[in-house]
Formats: sequence, C-alpha cells, structure tokens
Amino acid sequence: MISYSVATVAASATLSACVIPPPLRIDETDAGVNHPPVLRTVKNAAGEELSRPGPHEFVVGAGELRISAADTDQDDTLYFRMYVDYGLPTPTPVRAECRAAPGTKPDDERTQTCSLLGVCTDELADGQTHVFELDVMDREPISSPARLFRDVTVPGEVATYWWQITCARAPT
Amino acid sequence: MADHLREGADVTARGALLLALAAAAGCLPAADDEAIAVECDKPSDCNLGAGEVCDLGVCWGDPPVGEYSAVIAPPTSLRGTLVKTAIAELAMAPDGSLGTDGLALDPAVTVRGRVTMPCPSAVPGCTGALGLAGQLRFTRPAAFVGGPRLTESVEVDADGRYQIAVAKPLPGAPIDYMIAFAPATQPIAAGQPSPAELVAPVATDVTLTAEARDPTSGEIGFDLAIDATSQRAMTGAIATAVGGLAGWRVTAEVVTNINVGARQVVSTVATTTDSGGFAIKLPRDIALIDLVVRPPLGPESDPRPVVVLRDLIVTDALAPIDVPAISPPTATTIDVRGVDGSGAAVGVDGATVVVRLDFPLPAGRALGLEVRASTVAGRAVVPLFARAGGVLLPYSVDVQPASGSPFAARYDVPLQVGAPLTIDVARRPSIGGRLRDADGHPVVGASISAAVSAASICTLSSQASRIALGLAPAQGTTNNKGEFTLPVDGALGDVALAYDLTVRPVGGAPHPEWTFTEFDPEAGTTVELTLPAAAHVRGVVTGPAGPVDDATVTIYERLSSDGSCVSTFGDPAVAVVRGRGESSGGGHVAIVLPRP
Repeated sequence: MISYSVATVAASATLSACVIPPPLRIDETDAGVNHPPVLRTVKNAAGEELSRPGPHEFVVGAGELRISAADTDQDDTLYFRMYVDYGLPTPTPVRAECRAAPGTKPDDERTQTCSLLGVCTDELADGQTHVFELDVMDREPISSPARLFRDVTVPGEVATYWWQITCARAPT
Repeated sequence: MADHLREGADVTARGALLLALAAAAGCLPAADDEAIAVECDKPSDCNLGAGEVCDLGVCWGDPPVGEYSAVIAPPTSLRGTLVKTAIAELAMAPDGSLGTDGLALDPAVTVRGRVTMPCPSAVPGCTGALGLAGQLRFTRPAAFVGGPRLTESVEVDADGRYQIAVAKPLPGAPIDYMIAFAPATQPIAAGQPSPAELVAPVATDVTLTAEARDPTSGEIGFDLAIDATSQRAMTGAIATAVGGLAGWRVTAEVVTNINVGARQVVSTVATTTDSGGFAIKLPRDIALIDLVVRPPLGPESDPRPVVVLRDLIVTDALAPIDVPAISPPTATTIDVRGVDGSGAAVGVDGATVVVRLDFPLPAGRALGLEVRASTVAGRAVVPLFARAGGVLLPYSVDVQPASGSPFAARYDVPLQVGAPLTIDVARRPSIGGRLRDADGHPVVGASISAAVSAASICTLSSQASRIALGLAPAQGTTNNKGEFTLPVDGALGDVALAYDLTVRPVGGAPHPEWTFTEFDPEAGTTVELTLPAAAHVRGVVTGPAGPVDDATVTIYERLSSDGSCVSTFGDPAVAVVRGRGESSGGGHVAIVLPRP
C-alpha cells in the first residue's frame, strides 16, 4: 500500500513536471516536523543553469542568480546565503543573501532572482579559482560557535550547492 | 476559458493569476478548499479595446509601449544542439503573443580544434607544438544596444583540445565571433611553467561560415595557433637586498573602466630569476600599463605588500625596480563596537575588516596591500608590516558590517601597526515603506532589495566605486501589509549614498518586477511604492525539432543612455530586464511585464 502511494505521487509529479520533495522522515506525523528545503536549479542572468563544478566566471559588481528551490513547509521563508571560500582557511561572513517569502498563495516551489553584488570583490579577482557556496535555509540564519556566520535557527534545515568560480574585474 | 475555472468562481484577481501562471509554468498548485479566483471569465472582463483576450482566467495582452528585445537560453540538456538566442526586435501582439514566429532558438554547430603555441624551450620534450590548457570563449556581439553579449565558453584540455557548441552559420549568413583565450595558471607538469607564463591572454576575431562545415560530420574545425613571438616582450629586474630576488611574480594590468576601477591582467605571469630578472609578454596594441610586482609565495600565509608601477609606458626594457625592505609582520588587533537597541555597547560580529595600504614611493612606484578579516566576538586580528625601508607605513581600515546588519560601515580609519585599534560604528539608517500593486492593494511576500544607485556610484572616486560595487544589497521581504524596512549605509566615507530599490514579487505572483530609483536613507521618511500595472504576455519556445521546455526567456526594454558611468561596462545605452519566465508544457512561457 505504501509502495502504491509513493508510486502514484511520483508518477503524478513527473507528469506535471513538478517534483515535490517528499518528507524524508516517515516515522513521525507531520505536526511539528520541519521538512528540509531543496535547491532545484540555479541559473545565471543569461538563463543558463550553473553546471557543477564549474568553474564559472562572476564579475565584480554585477550579475544575478535565478534560484529555484522547494520546501513542502509552504509557510517557511527560504533564506538564500552565498559564501566564498568559507573555511578556506577560516570561516567568513555571508557575501550576499536574499530570501523568498511564501506570499499570499504559498506554494512548495519558489523561484527568486538574487543579486550577486558582494560575492566577487576586487581582491578575489586574482585569476585563481574560488569556492562559491549557496545555502538555502528554512529558518533565520545565525552565527554560532560551531558554525560561524553560517548556522540556522533550530529546527531549521539547510541545503547547499557549491561551484568553482573565478572573479573578473570586468566582463572578459 | 476552462470550465473547471469558471464553476463556482469567486472573482478576485490574484488567485486566478496565480493559478494561470502556475498552469502555464506546468505546476498546478495543489487543489484546496479555497474558492478559485479568476481575473476574467468572459472576454468583456478584459480590455478588448486594447486587444486583450481572456484565457485561463487571465487577461492576456495590451503589452507595454516601448522597444523590447529578448534573450532565450536553452536548457542545459540541449546545449549541444541549441544555443542562446537573441531577438533584437521582440514583437508583442495586442493579445500578448510573443514573437512573429514564436520564440525560436538558434541551432548549434560543434566547433572542434586545438589551442597551441610553438614548443617553447622551457618545456623539455616538447616537439612541434605545445597544447595549452585554459578557457576559450566564443562571443557574439550583443544583438541589441545595451543587451548582453552571447558567450559560449569551454575549458580547454591539457593537450589543448576543445569542442564547443556555438550558433550555426547558415549559407549566406556567416557569424562573427570574438574569440578569447585565457591560459591556465596551473603548471603544465611538475617543475614546468604554466600556460599563463608562456602566452598572454589572446583575443581575436573570426567569422564562421556554413562553407567551413565538414560535409560529413557537420562540424567546424578551428585551431587557435598562438604565435608567442608576435606578442611584445618587456624585460626588467627587481633590486632588493632583503628576502632574495627570486620568485617575485610580475604581471601587467590595464584599467578597463576608470570610473569604477575595473582592471584586467593583459600579460603573461613572469617569475623573477635568482638575479631578479623577469620578462613578460603582452599584446602589441597595449601602450600603457600598471606593472604589479607580487612577493614570492612563502610558507607563511601572511599577505605581503605588492609594488605597483602605475601608468607605465610599455618599452622593451625597464629600469631596475627597487623593492623596499619590509619589516616582519606584527599581529594587530582591531575591535569593532556598536550600540544595540537597548543602548548597550556590543561587539559587532561578522563585519568585514579591510586594511588597506597605498603608500607612494619614489620613481613612480607605490606599495600596496589589502588584507581582509572578519570580526568574531567583535574582534579581528590581522598581520601587518610596520615599516618599509625604515619608513612607518600608513594603513587605513574600512569596517563593513554584513548586509542587513543594524550597524553602519566606517571607512578610512587610520591604523598604527601593533597598536590596538577600537572602531565605533553608528547604527544604520533605514529605508522603510510600503509596497502596493497598481490597484492599491498591499503586495505580500515580495523580495525588495536596496543597492547603491548607479548615480551614486558615478559620484564616487575610483577607489570608493570599487568598494561600492562590492557591497551586497540590503534585502528583505514585504510583510502581509506590504511593509518593509531595509537598513543601509547613509554614506561611503563622506559621500552621501542614494539607493535603488528593486522589487521582485514572489514567483507566480501577478505583479511585475520593477526598480524604483534614488532613495535617500537619511531622509528618514516612509516611502510609498506603487508597482506599475501588469501586462501578461506569452509565447512558445521552439527549436528545429519542436517545442522546447525548460528554456529561460528574458525580456529587455531598450532605453536610451542613462548617462551612467557604470553602463560603460558594456554599451552606452542600457537594456533593462523587465520580465522573465521558463517554458514548460510544450514550450509555453508566460511572463509578467510592467506597463507603467
């Protein structure tokens, strides 16, 4: 019976081209359970998906990402946070951020355009490859001793993608 | 209109538009017990005089007046067969239909070849030509003024081979490309130079024609043979008695946008020999450079000052460059304090502390350093060098709290190496207000961000512009009353800043994106923002094989030059993004445009 239900959901989702992330924990009721957000696609300003691992070129003072994410907790605000070389060698603060609120008609799927201003700064335009990370959190981001500048308020969940990037001082 | 939308309809606009837009995007929201709302359920509910039509509960059409263009990007899965495509003149019919023949993506052709240079003596065992790793870009000029250039890029393998899909030239319709090759900085092999040490970045124009396609494979062969001897060589040497002469790295840079301080490396990367000598190569058409001499990469990670020779006229041989002796680094503590909402003094966490040095030396040289650290428990510690050639070095400190922080930035605080420094920061002013739609209803959940306005950036010095362009926008969302508050810096140094507010409604909402310009955070007033009316347009993305799903369509409005110094990044005129959407369900795409 469980198998049948899962198959039905999966088939319906595929037919409508929308994959709805199922709750990852099936041994609890929904009440009080926070489901993690997921990143669907990340595209650049030209509409091209940011293939991983890259490298991709970001330009200082320009650019944006179009981020699609999902959270079955439809009332959650999703917080997108961008980091460069976090922990390499030391934790560094968020470089840029944006968020997607539920709106008047909450939906699992959210798409948000986020500015890349602040991700690449002049000192990163050094010709070297850097590690760019994108977090999506479903609770307010916080800084904690365990994870400086990059933790999430309990019971928040985090999903992360990463890419290699280079920073250019002007379009090349 | 579909019957399931009409039955039992309780007419309010927003729900219907959400449903219709979601359906057009292939993502019908889950059914619930809420009454389904529609914008229209009969043609007369729409503006028939303007050409609108009612379909799926939405009034489509009555597009905005103006000059519009579009760029279509194929999905990743089809990038070998389709390429980014620009529509210079986007037709928008009164009923909202996009494109005279739909939204057609250009087919791709595979270009295959090798990037090489004649074998250099620095690479033993090389015979004939040496393959060069790096990044290769094929760029078509912007199809419309102010629009994006269409670039396809590929990482060239270590043996110099590559293949890339670019727009296919058709008989009688050749395509011009600007090809740029940036050599890799990784060594060819252990103990050998990197491609970036052998050749300078190369750019050249090429025209691809249909006749160049191989009749069997359909591909186009293109080898980029770089003649390093055609690049101009410039030799020099550094002279210093401390730390040795070997291992310093030398590059030439040019300023690509003086207004915003944009720069670009144009030479090979040279490393000084035991005697301090170096030789760089650079394109022959470059006459004026900044020469940057970086210290060797030592076992310690402390960043050391670089020597910069500004506005140097390119010659075959340079006079020796004196590098002053630098004292050992000293750990310097910087505390950053602010006052919280209760009036208590607190350490500011997560602020970026930038320590700068720009110290002029004789003979046109300057000593430069930029070190960054983050405050933890209100404190940052940075290793700094007190003296150069016996002279005390004057540093300055910028403190940049994270975007969204209640604390304001401070700039150009003098620092003496070794002496603890405490920097007090003020609280940020904020831009607050309320966002409404064209009908006067609050817009809920919209993303709203405040970025330093282009006009403000143009009033800043080149150095301050560099800083401003690196500042992340303050970002928030509107609450259920449409209200928002964004803490921002009121000034950069002693220059007042104004901000542009960009509104991006939540996905699927029936509101357009819009940017409101020039808000003064120090004014302290509550701003009332009203979005323009929405025009709903739609189209079908196609390729040679039929409809294409998961393509991204971006619509630009072409405007005459805004006179912004920032726009000189690209073109003298501007093209502003007015709407975007992804195709699904048979290539269908629906986009909301502002109709001011």
